[in-house]
Amino acid sequence: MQIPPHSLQRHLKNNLLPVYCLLGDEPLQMAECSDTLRTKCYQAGASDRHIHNTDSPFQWDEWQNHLQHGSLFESYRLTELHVTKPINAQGRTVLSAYMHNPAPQCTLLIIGNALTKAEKNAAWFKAAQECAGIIIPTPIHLSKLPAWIIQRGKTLGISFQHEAAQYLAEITEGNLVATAQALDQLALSADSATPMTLHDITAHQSAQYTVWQLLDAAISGNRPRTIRILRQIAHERSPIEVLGLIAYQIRQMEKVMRYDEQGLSVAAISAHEKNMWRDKIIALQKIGQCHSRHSVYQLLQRAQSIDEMIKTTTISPWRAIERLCINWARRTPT
Amino acid sequence: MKISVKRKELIHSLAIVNGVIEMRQVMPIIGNILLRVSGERLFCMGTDSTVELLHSVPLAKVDAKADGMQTTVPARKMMDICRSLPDDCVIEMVPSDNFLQIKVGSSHFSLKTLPAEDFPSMPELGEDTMTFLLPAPQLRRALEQTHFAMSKDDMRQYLKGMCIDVRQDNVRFVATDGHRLACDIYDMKSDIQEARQVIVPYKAINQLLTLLQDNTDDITFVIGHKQIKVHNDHFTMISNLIEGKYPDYEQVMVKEGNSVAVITTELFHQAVRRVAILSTEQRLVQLNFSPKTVHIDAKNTEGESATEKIDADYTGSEIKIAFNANYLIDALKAIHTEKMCITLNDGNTRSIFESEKPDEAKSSQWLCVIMPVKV
Repeated sequence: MQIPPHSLQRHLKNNLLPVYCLLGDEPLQMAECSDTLRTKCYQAGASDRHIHNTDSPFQWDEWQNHLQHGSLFESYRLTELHVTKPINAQGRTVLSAYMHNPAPQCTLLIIGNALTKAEKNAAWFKAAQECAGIIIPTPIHLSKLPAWIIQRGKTLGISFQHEAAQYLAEITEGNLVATAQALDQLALSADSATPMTLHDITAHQSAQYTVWQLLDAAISGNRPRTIRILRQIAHERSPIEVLGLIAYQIRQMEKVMRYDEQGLSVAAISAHEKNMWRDKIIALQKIGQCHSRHSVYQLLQRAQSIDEMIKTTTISPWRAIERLCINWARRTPT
Repeated sequence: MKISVKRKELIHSLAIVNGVIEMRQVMPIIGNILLRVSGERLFCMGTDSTVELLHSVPLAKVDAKADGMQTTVPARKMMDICRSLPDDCVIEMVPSDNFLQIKVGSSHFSLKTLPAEDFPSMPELGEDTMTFLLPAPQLRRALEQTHFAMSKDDMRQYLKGMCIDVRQDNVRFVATDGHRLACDIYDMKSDIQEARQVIVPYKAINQLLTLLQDNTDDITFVIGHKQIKVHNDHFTMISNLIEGKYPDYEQVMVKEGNSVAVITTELFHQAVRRVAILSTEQRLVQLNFSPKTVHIDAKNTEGESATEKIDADYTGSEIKIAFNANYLIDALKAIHTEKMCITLNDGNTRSIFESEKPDEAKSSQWLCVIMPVKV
């Protein structure tokens, strides 16, 4: 039977099946569902958990033996099978046999990545759908994340203005682990009487991004991410440091553009430029194709004037740096 | 300064000490063997940092100048050299600078040494220790009858060893892997004031079994809180103890059922061995107990099967129960009486295997508890 992750607690109030399959790629829900299941098994009398990893070489015979053999010291057992690589033919046979005749006084928890279509058609999985609880945590879509944040906030005793929840969803980019950590941090200092505002969230955000992530976002031409990171690090970094690295990276891009004009391959460029990784060269080639020599010159000139502005005036340079980044981060040629 | 030892005696000592030395080690000196001359004996010592073993051999020729000499040489190379020499030769060893010169007839070897001062030794056991003596044959028998049940599972370290439970009137040797348990209770009179339970690692127990093969003397046990020392005139073994709580083994030794089958041990042993040839890869054999007989059956996934019937003194109800054949064979090997008893409850709960009657003349009691396999 299929059990949605959010219904697991409710299901476990009255049931404890002999087998649970927890198959998914979303780490937070995977961890929380497995913890919930373990807690229930401990409450049911398990004193220990037996963990088996299907790492090579995994002895399916021995594992089957372990399941079939009663324990002298435990009247009820929790056995976990961590599937770390595709289940081989022998494993499928053993699992299939087990699903048809699960051991009494034992809960088997199978934990692994989401199954492929072919794996879902395997006999063992079809048999599992009859006797086991199938829990498949899936990532939460960005559009549904604010609602998830508001719901999770309630369990932690904090409420959110919708705008604040949306902003939190945006800065964590759909990563549930990061979102849950941010919520835990907010819960420590939140006032349960008043809903969290956008200002509260920004004030709480600590160093989430690095300047290198900013540069990567700009090089990949992702303008929204570039702006988001820049606005974040503006609270923690000095503009001269950020600008210096941006200008350095633009000059790197210009170098790669020159090599491209000479018709050098990535390997040849890599041989000339020991400090540049192959992946970085490829990324700089891509963004370089969106720029002309003239536009690069303009970017560097702009960087120079911002540098002067920082050193000679008291005007905040961040808006200017943001404009520089917007002009630099491109996906298509001008 | 010359050390002379008979090859036959030295190789015996080296073989024993080599048993504790790990082939792969992080410190080169742990791969060495410590040689020390004291009086008329040569002491060989090996360690893996958790178990330390000291064994001695008499010198073939005593050289007063060599008394107190000590050095360390690579254990593996030393063993290989000794093995390659003629059986009845006398090995002469002369330490010089950073080498140990080994001379036998026209053969000459020069082995690189490391300073004996750098050789790691286990710390003292401390003051709060418990000491008792056991005769070597009885100890060997107790270990042989129980050691097979020790776990090999790295995840549960506390089962990867043998529990020695010392009480005022007896000492118990218990081993279990969670599915089966073997226990030997040896009655002894001692002046022990308080009971103490320790877990001795697998490696130390196996090493002790090797040491007891040719020993008939009393063996002294000194049990500390973190270490155990086992010694007599020929050897001294010190081992770290496994930290952790051993399961409550007494609760599983209580007989649940009242159906008792008395069977001829050897007949049953041989029958199980034969039938198990056609068992599955999980080595399952099924025992069907019915009045006066036991049927032993096995079949595998290819449709092959084997069955055997043996007579039994059994009057209980019919019981079908399956076991891992290896567990049965290990238990049956440990029974030395002509007849044996199996106490059963039903096909799903533990069964107890023991010798037919505890011999009044003998001061030890043994039993093995095995959980059945669900089929």
